[in-house]
Amino acid sequence: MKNNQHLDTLHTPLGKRGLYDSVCFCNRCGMCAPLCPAYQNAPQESNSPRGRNQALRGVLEGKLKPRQVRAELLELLTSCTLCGRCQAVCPGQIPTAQHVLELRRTLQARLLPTLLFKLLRLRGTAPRLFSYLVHTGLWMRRLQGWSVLMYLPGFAWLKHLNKLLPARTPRPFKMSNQTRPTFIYLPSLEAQFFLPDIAQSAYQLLTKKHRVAVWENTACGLFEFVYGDLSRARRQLRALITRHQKTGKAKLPLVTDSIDVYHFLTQAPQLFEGYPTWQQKAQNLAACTRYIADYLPKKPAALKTISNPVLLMTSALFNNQSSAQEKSAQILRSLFKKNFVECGYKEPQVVPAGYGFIKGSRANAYNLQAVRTVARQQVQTVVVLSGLAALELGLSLRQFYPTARVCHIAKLNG
Amino acid sequence: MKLSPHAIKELSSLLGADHVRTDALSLSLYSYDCSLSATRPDGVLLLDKAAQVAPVLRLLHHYKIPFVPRAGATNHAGSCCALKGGVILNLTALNNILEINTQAGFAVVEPGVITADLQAALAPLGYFYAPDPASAQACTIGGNLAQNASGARCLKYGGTLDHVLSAQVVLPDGTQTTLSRQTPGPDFVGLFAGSEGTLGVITQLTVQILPLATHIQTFLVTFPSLSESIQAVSALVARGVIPRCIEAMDKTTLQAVEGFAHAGYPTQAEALLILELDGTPAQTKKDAAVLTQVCLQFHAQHFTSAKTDEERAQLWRGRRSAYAAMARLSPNVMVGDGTVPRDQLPTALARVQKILKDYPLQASLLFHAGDGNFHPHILFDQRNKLQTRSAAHVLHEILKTCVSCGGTISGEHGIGVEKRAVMATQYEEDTLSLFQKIKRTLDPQNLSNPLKIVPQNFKEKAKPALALPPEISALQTQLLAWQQAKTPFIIAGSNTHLKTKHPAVLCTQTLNQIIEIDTANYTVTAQAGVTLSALHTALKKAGVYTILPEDKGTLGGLFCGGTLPPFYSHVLGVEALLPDGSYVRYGGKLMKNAAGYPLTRLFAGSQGTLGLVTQLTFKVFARKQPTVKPHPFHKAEITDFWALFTRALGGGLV
Repeated sequence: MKNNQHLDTLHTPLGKRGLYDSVCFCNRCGMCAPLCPAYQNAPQESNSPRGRNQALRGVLEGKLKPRQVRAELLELLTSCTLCGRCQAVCPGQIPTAQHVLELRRTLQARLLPTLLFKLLRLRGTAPRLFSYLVHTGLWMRRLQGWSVLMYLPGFAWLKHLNKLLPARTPRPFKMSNQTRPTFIYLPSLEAQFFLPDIAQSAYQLLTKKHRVAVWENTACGLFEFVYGDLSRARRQLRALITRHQKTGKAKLPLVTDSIDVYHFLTQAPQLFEGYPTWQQKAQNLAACTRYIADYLPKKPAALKTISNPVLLMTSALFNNQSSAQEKSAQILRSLFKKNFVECGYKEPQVVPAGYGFIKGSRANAYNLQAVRTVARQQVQTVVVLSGLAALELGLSLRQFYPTARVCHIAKLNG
Repeated sequence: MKLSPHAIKELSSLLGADHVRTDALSLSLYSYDCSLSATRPDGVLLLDKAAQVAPVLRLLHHYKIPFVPRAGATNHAGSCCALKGGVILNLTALNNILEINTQAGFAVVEPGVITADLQAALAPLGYFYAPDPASAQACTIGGNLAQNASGARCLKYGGTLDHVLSAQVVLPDGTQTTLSRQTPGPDFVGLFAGSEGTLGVITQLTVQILPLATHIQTFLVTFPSLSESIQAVSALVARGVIPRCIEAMDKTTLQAVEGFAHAGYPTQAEALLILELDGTPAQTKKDAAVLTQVCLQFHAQHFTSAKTDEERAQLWRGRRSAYAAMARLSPNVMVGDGTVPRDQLPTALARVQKILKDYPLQASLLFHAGDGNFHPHILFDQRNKLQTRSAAHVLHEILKTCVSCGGTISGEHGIGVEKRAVMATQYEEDTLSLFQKIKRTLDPQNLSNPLKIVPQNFKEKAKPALALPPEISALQTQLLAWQQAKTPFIIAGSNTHLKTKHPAVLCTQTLNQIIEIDTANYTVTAQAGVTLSALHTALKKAGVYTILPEDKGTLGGLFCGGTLPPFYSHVLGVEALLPDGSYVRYGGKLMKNAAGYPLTRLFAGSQGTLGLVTQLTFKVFARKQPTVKPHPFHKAEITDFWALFTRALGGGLV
C-alpha cells in the first residue's frame, strides 16, 4: 500500500532504491561538501550533504531519536536548499535533496509560517480564492497597505516578500486559451502573479508558432511535495495528468517557465510507485514536459538589449545537471559566444530558496555568495531559469551589486 | 568521559556557546570519516580562527581532555575518530589562503584550505601545487600534511612532505611553535607529515608552488600482461624518463570503468597505463620518443597520445571516474592502500588478485605504477556484518602481502586506527618504541588524537628483530658499555667536519659497505660510513647518478650534518642505533611511505644528537643530475623543540 508520509522508493539516477538503501550508499567520501551552498557559507558537518545523509541514516537506524534532537535536526534540515549540486558531484549520485525531504516528512516539519503555508496551499485547494487573495494583497501593496500589515502577528514574512517583489508589481498579463491547442503552457506561480513579464515572454514565444492552451493558476503538486503531504501532492498531480489526458489525448507538450516545476514533473513517476497505471501516466506526463528554453528562436528578439557579459546560473530544485539546464547553457553559449561567462562548477549560485524554504537570514547569506560570484565575474546580466531565482537574485543584486541585473531566460525574446 | 560543566563553560567563553556542541546530533556527525570506524566524541568545538587553537588546547590540557583535529575528514584510515572520547576540533573554517608569492615560489595557507581551491587560485597565475591526491576536491592541505598524502604526481614531484616549507603548529599543551626547513637541525616539518594529528594541531602552512608545465603530453597504452606494463615503467625510468603520472589499472577495473564512463578504453587488455609527460616542448618530444620505443619493446597493444586539453581530458575520463564506477555498485567501497618496491609490483599484484579471488567480494585494482603504490577498491555493504568482516580481513591480508614483498602498509592514506594493528607486522619493536617515544615527547599526557598509529601491546606482537651485522653489533656493545658506565659520548660520522677530540666518540668508520645498487627500483642502499668518493665510484660503475656532491666525508655525515637539505627528500629508508642501544629500521626502496612518523626526517640534520645513523637507502637516477653544493658545516644550536627530542632519545649522555 502507498505510504502517505514517505516515498517508499526513490527514483535515483542509478535506478530505484528504497530510502534506507539509498541513504546507505553514502560512503562518506565528502566530495559533496565543498559544493553545498550551506557548507560554503559555514563549513560544518551539519551543513554538508554528507552530514544530512548520515543524520537520516542515524534516524532510520534508531541511533538518533528525532524527539530528542528535533531542534538540531530542524536546524540541519533548514540549511539545505534542495539544489541537488551534491548529487551531481557525488560518485554514487545520491539524491540528498530527496533524503532531506524524507527527513522533513519524518519530523513533520512545518518550515513555513502558518499563514503563508495556508495561503499557498489554497492554490491547490481553492485556486480562485488564492488568486483573489493574491491580487487583493498586491493591490493593497500598491496602496502601501503592507506597511501596517507586515507588523501584525503572523505576517512577518510579508516584510521579506515586500523586499523580494519589484517596487511596482506589473499588472497581470492576460493570456487567452486558443482552440485545438498544440501546446500547453503551465505558468509558474511567480510568473503568473509577481513577474508577469516572464509569463508574457513565454506566452509570446509559444504563440508565435503554436496554438497554446494556458493552464493558469494550476498547482502541479510541487508545493505539497516540498512542504505539505504526499497525498495532496499526488492528488494534484493526478488532476494535472487527467487534464493533460483530456487535452489533446495526453500527447501535447506541457511547457513550463520554471526549471523547478520542470524537475518536479520529470520526477513525478516516483510519487506513484505501487500504482502502475498512474505511474505509467506520470511517465507520459514527464515525457511531455518541456522547459521554455527549448523554444527560444535562434536569434531572440531582445538579444541586443541584454548587457554583456552574461552569466548563467542554472540553480534549481533537486538537480544540477538536467538536460534542460545543459541545453540552456548551450543556447547562451551559442548566442553570446565570448561574452558568455561559464559559472565555475563550484561557484556559489543563487539558491532556490523560497520565502521560507530556508531561514531568511541564511537565504540572504547564501544569495550574498551568489552576488560575490557575479561580482567576481564582473558580468552585467545574470540569466536564471526560474521566476523564484529571478526574485531572489534580483533582491540581492539590487542591494549589493546594482550594476548587474537578472533576466529570466524566456525574456531573452523580449 | 563527559566534558565537565566547568570545561564547557570555559570553552564557551573562548569560542562562543554556539561553537561548543555537545548535542547528540553533533556528536553523531563528528563521529566518522571516510573509513569504517566511527566513535562518538564528547564534544565538538567549531573553530573560526587559527588564533583560537592555542588557548583552546591550553584549556583542554588543563582539563586533560583528549582532542582530535579534523578538517575534511576524507581519510580512509579512521584517523579522525575520537577513540578515547574528548573533543573534535573542527578546522574546516580555517580555510583562508593568506598569501601567494609567485616570485619566491610559496603560498601561505590555513589548514582547512581545500587542495583543489589552492590549485584553482594558483592556476590563473601560472603556478601549481604539486601534490594531487585523488580527493583533492574535498580534502584539505592541513589534512594532506597530517596524512602525508601524495597522489598521482608523486613519482616526479614527491608528496606533501616534500612541498611544505614551514608549518605553524600548536603542541598538545598549547605551546605555539613554527617549524621551518630553514632552521638548522632535524626536519621537524617532515616529522609532522603523516603524524595524523597525534603530535599537535597544524594552524598554518607555507607550501612550495611551482610554475605550470608549458607542455604536457598524455599517453594511453595497453599491455598483454600486468608484469609487462610494470617492466615497461621500470625500463622507462631506467632510460631516465620520469613521467609526472603513471596511472594503471587491471583488466577487471578497466572493464568496470569502461562500462560506466565509456571513455573508449580497450577492454580486452590485461593492463592499461596512462602516462603523462611534462616539461619543455623539446624535452617532452625527446621523452615521448623514448616512451614509444619502450612501450613497443614490451609489446604495447594499444597506443594513444593526446596533446590538447580536450584529448587529454578524454584519456583521463575513465581513470578519474574509477572510484565513481565502483561507488555505484555497492553501498560501501573500501579503498586500500599499500606500497611495494616497483620491481615487486607484479608479484604483489598477483598475490593481491589471488586474495581477492578467495573472497566472495567484488573488487578492483588501481595503482600508481611509477611508485609501486596500489589501491584495491573492495565493494561491500556495511549493513552485512559478514561482508564487512570479510572486507576488513581482505584488507589486512593485502597489507600483510605488501609487507612480505618488502613494502609498506600505507603509501599515502595513513594508519589511523584501521591499520594500526598491522603496523606490528611491518615494524620491529624498537622502531615502534621510537614512534611511541616521539609521541610521548610532544604529548606526554596522550591527549592529541590518542590511540592512533602505534599498535596496542606492540611488544608482544611486533615483527621479530633481524640480527644485526657484526660491525653494528660492535657499535651497539660499545654504546651500551658507555651507557652503563654513564660515560658521556659523542656520535659522529668519520669525524671529517666535527673534528672532535672527545675521548668517547661513536663513529661510522667501520660501516663502509655499499649494500645494494638496485637498478630496477633505482635506489642505493649503503652504510653510513661509506665515503662520498667511494660511493661516486660505485655509482659511476653502475651507470646511475645522484645529486650528492663529490666531497670529503661520509654519506651519513652529509645526511646528519645538515649540510645538504635537498638530499633529505631523496632518502627513502634509514637504519639507526639509538642512544639507548635500540636499533630502528624505517622505510626502504619505497617511493611512498605514510606508515608511522617519517624517521628519515627526524635523523636528517640531527648532527648525532638523536642516534647513530648506520644505513641509508636513497633514490638514484638514470640521467645525470645536477649536483647540489653542500653548506659549510657548523654545529647547530639546539632549539627548545629539538632539545625535547635529544632529552627523550639521548638520555642526557649524548
